[in-house]
Amino acid sequence: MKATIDRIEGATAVLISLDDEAARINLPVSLLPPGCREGDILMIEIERDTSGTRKAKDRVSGRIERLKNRK
Amino acid sequence: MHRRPAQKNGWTHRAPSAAAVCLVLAGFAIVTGCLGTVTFPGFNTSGRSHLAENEGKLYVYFLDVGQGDSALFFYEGKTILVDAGEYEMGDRVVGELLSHGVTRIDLLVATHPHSDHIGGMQTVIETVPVGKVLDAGLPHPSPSYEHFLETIEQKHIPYQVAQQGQTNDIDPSLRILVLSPPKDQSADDLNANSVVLRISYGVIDVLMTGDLGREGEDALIRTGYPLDAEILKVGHHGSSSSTSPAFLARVHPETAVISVGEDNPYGHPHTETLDLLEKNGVMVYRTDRDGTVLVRSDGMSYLVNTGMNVSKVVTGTPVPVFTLPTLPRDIVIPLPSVTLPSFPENWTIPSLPAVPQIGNASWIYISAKQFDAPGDDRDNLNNEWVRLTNRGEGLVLMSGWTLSDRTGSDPYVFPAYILMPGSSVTVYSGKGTMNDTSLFMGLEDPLWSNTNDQATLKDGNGNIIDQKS
Repeated sequence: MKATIDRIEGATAVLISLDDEAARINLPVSLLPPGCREGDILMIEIERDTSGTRKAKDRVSGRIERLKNRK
Repeated sequence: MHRRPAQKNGWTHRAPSAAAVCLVLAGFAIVTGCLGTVTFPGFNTSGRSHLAENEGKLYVYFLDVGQGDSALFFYEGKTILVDAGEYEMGDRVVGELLSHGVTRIDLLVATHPHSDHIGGMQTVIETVPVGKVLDAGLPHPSPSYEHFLETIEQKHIPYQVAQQGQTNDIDPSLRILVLSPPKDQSADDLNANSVVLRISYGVIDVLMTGDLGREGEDALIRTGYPLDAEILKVGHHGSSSSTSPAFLARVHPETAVISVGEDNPYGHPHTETLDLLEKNGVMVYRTDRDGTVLVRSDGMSYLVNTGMNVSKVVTGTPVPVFTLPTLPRDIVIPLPSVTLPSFPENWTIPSLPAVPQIGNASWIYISAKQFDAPGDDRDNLNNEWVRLTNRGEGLVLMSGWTLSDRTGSDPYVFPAYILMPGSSVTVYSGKGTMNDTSLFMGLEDPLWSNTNDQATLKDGNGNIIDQKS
């Protein structure tokens, strides 16, 4: 996905998707690559992390089990 | 140059007298109650065009478009739209235009290309014919802005890049002065290059600053252009990055409108800005709380309406749906001991000749006061003040008049000063440069006691004109 940095409001960057101008994303400036400025166009890649999801689920399930069996 | 109208008479004076009585008698809560007798032809929910029934008046609607800006000016069938909110607000702005019977926008102003100002433009220019676009002309690569430019090109709409000093002649009675961007604009900061307009009708000025930041404000002060305005559209939704104390002092507004969305993620308006406005006695309206704010003017004076929210249901919270902004905020909640200035029973709205006559001293009264400055009075001498108003139909020469506290010692002696009919002057305790609406006692220490003081106004012969405690 491509998005423009429409503006910076304090510590928040307001991004607008180039595909859908009604889609605005508020993002902390600290999460942007260094040197970003108003008007820059960003490449945003979003991927599913299936193995990470599975691991996290297992971890949380383990915690629940431990809590249930706690004496 | 008189900032106050020489003759602030005519239709608006009907309302002030009624409003002042209501306000003084019972304070804020009754304001709504007073409204039963006041009608507002400009507020229409029936879908009739108000352009036909209110010719010769300026109407400014600060539209409630959530977090963003959009303001609509109507004058004698001419329409100006300044900004159009976010993308999804385009329909709302168009709906507003159509409900007023607008068939053409004479001047469309895009203050700067941020989406909360120009997002809705696309819908607007696709729906309503536009005479001319005035733009900041900054190459911002956002989809909203690009589509806007693309449509302007396709529809062959005349396009002008705004530059300081330009004027616009859509109507000879409406003076439109472009104050920003400066000629040497740097394209780096979009807010700093916002199109700033001062739109004047008669003696009433409206200052539209877009999202201009403090640096831009400083630059504007240095140009020496007139910035004073009765009504200020507060810069950047009330962000603390705009509205510096120096800028506010230069604009010296009576009324401020903050165009801002409820619970926005940026914390607008910032407390710093609200505090500054309050400290300066500015009447503040907010589109997040008041909905769409309407300012109506006959060129001599103006009224502010709220409570006509078209975008959401008005809640039961009492809002000041009618107010005369020239009355200061503090008169709204009077002390129990406030005395009502006597209004002649047979007082009628005078029709005045073009040249003001010499008036009667008894027309001057103490219309408001602030003995107790916010914070420490010693640090804040110019927040101690007494306001005098000429409610008559002639000018009054106040040279040699005096204003004193309860002790009567060391009274302030007025310099050569004329108070015009229908005008007010505020006498501040501290230092400053006198102008049409302000006089300064030049004291080092507070004059007025915060509790139980009384101001006495005497004419040059020592006759008591008015007292207020």
